[in-house]
Amino acid sequence: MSEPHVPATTLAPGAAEMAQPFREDRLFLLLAVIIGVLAGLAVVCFRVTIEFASQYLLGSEVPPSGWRLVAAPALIGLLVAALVIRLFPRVRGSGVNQTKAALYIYDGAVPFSTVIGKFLCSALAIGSGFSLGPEDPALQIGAGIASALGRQLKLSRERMRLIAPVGAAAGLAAAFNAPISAVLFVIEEVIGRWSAGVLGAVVLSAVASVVVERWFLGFAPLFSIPAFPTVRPGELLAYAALGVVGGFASVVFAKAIQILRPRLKAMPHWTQYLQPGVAGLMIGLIGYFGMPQIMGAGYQYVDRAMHDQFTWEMLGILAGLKILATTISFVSGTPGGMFAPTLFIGAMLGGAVGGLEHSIFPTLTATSAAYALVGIGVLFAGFLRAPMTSVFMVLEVSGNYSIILPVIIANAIAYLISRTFQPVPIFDLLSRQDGIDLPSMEEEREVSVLRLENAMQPPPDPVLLGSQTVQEALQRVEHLPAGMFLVRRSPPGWSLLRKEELAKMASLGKGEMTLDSVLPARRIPLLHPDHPLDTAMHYVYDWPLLPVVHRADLDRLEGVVTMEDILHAYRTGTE
Amino acid sequence: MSDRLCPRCGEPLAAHAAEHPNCARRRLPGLARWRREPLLLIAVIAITAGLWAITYFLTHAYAARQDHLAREWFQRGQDRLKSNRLDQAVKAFQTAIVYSPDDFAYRLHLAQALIADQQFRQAETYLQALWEEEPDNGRVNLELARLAAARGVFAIAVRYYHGAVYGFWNHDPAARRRQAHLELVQYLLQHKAMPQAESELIALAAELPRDPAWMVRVGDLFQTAGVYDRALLEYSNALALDPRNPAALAGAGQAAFQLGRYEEARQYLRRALAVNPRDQQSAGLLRTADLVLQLDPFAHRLGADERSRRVLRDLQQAQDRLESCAKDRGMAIDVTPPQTRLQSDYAQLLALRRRLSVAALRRQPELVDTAMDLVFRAERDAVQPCGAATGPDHALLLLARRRQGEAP
Repeated sequence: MSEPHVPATTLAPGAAEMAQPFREDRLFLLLAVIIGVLAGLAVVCFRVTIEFASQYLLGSEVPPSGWRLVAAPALIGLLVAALVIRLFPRVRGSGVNQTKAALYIYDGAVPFSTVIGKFLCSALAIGSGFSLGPEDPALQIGAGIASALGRQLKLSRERMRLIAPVGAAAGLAAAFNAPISAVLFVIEEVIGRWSAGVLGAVVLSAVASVVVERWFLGFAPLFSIPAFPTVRPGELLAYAALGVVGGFASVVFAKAIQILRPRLKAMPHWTQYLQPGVAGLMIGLIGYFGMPQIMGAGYQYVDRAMHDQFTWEMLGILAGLKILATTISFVSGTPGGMFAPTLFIGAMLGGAVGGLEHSIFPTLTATSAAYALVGIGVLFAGFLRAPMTSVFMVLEVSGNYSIILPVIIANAIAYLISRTFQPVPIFDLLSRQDGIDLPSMEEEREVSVLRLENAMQPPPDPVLLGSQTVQEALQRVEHLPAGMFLVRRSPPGWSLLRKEELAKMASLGKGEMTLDSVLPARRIPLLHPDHPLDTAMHYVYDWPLLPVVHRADLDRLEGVVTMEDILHAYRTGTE
Repeated sequence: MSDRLCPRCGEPLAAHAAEHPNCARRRLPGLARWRREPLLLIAVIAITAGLWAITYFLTHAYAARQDHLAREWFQRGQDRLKSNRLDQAVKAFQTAIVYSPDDFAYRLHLAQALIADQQFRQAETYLQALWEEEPDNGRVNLELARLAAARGVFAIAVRYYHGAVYGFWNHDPAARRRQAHLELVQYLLQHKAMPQAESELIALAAELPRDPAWMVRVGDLFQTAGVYDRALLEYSNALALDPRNPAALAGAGQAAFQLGRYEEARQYLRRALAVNPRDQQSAGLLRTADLVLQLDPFAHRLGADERSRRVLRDLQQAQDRLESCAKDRGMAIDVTPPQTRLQSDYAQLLALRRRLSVAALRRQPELVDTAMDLVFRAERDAVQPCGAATGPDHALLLLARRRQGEAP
């Protein structure tokens, strides 16, 4: 939506007013690059630390085996619980809501201790086998670094609010090795709106962080995706079935967290020290008794699912157990992200559905691996409720455009099912459970914007012309009840004139002068029917009767609005 | 007031003034700000450099460890593969790939271990990915060809075999290509794709090393494809290098026999039996070749009397065949007028025999052809009701085929 056009003659801001924000804009973009580099470095260290932790705690074999499977997560769970409760109370959970809270509540402030705590606790938890991922913590680490830098540079409050999402995008991009998905997710789920200023900074920081990440960790994508055959139109039904299954799995996953999390939080405080340890023990037991694949982020198993390495029955079991393990990990308050488990569950579920369909309909061309890839997007859309990110993420990690149609169909179905049975998205649900009312991006996306066309009244009569003399205009309006009249001016533009002002001009001997010559140069900003209603609020105080004109013909009056009309529209619109 | 504008705020400037008075006033606190900004910039650069260095050392340590673990698990995989613990080998190779996901050799070994462990679908997925990276890799093409052959997808298997034959190989490429070519030919022969197999064999033969074993192998394949002249050529080439090679001698004897060159066949087969007296197949062929040569009235440099005697003997042989056949089937053969083809052949044989003698054949040599045509017809007609011919009857049938220009 364009800003209202203000004729140059009416507003003449000084160069100083314009130069200062312009300079700050450029500085902000430069800062975004620096944030991207720093966040990229931090996330590279974070990922490497997780790997080291995993190798030393669980052993180098993949999947791990032996007594370490039980001991490592249980003991590290106890350690992490103590660290979180005693030293880093803000690092619980995934990090997405904390970043949103920084944006909406704390003016962009993310304490640097949170960065350290998130780094340490998440690396230990994920490395020891908790079913959590590194992406959301990376997002919070990026936001924390950006916030610290912003504070040191004493940025304005507005910039400080925006800097956390910029860092978040950088952190997520480096963790995912997927800049487009990271930018989209931050726009879709954290900021919630597209704005050129923020978008530029978010993109720059994401790209900078991915460049740094690839500099150190190489250009290998998150998954090595095999080639998939082109999808036949009839097979889209099979993918639609995957969307249905994925939608219900998302609901089950979200409901499990919704039910268990408040119950565990309501338990006596001392149990908080034990909950992550018990969760670790349970996850370790699942691993020990034959399913170590569900431990940790599990990317290597997603990769294997995409190479048809598991039977569909096994894939189904892994998906179910991963939901269980992630729920246990997350509700125990252990710091770590939901992205990687969501990808894992989606891939396994997709593979299982694809494998089952293939066993029933052997003529389907796609292998279960193709369904595993689509399944990633399905859970992302259904569980995390980021439909646009889900589509682009699959495209970005696969580099395969031919998969787009199945992805869109399956994701849309999963998203709709999830919305129907789980109206509150998972991140909103978590923030509400924590007693914080953060704006719901999904709800905001669906709020219908009131526009001037919803409030405007028909054009009044008469409309005066700038070429008329004061006397002519006065004769025209003096017997009318209205007190204010619009003047159509030349070159195109509009002014407002009160009856008393006309009379005063006439009494001062300006009766023969044209309205154009006696009216001030400043004109009413041009408003159009599609402008949001709140745009008019900026001007209605100065001009109580605002003209609404046609975009292609600025002389053509479509209607007028007054403060009463605007308030009335807001009242009826809200009702 | 001049018509110049302040470069900082855009307000009109007084004459000779460099900036608007308000800007000059604002500049003082700005100085402090400008002193702070470079310091912050230096601090940010220093922090970035420090973090960069830490990341550098951390990632290098990480890469070194990954590399070490990858090699360690790859070695374990190979050890387990050697000791035939296939599932353990697969697991080890998979772990190696986790630590070195881009390593082509590791992935190839994993695919081969998966094939050995009968996990064909998974192996194919890995191989496909490898093929996308290196479509001209001979080893990958060969493995994919074998998988396609096992799945019975003929066209795809042949395509991958060609990829293996003309692809690159890291070690001993000529031998590997030859081996792949040989496998392709065997696959084509299995699927009775004879023209394709012959073309591939000709290409393969052109690149053979000076190795009698290879020549014999290719000769055998030419024989399987029914290309006996080329088979004989390969055996001859092998014998030029190793004149006492029993397989080459036997093969050459068989090829010459199949070509109807019985004299040549007899020589090769005799030599083969001299080298390997237990070669039953060559012995059987030699007996047949001897019979053919003894019964053949069309042999070169044969005297007229001997030719006549052979014709009479062949007539007698055919008559005996018909009589014994009729006896075995419990039917009468000497019936007037004849009702069946055998009876008709028999009647004509008797009639001809009554007219023919050595002297008659000397006088009328054209009767040789007439007599032998009748012999051949009788032998052929006897096969359907009386079963496959043996001994002299078989020899006569071989002569009949050669006479008509058929392959023996």
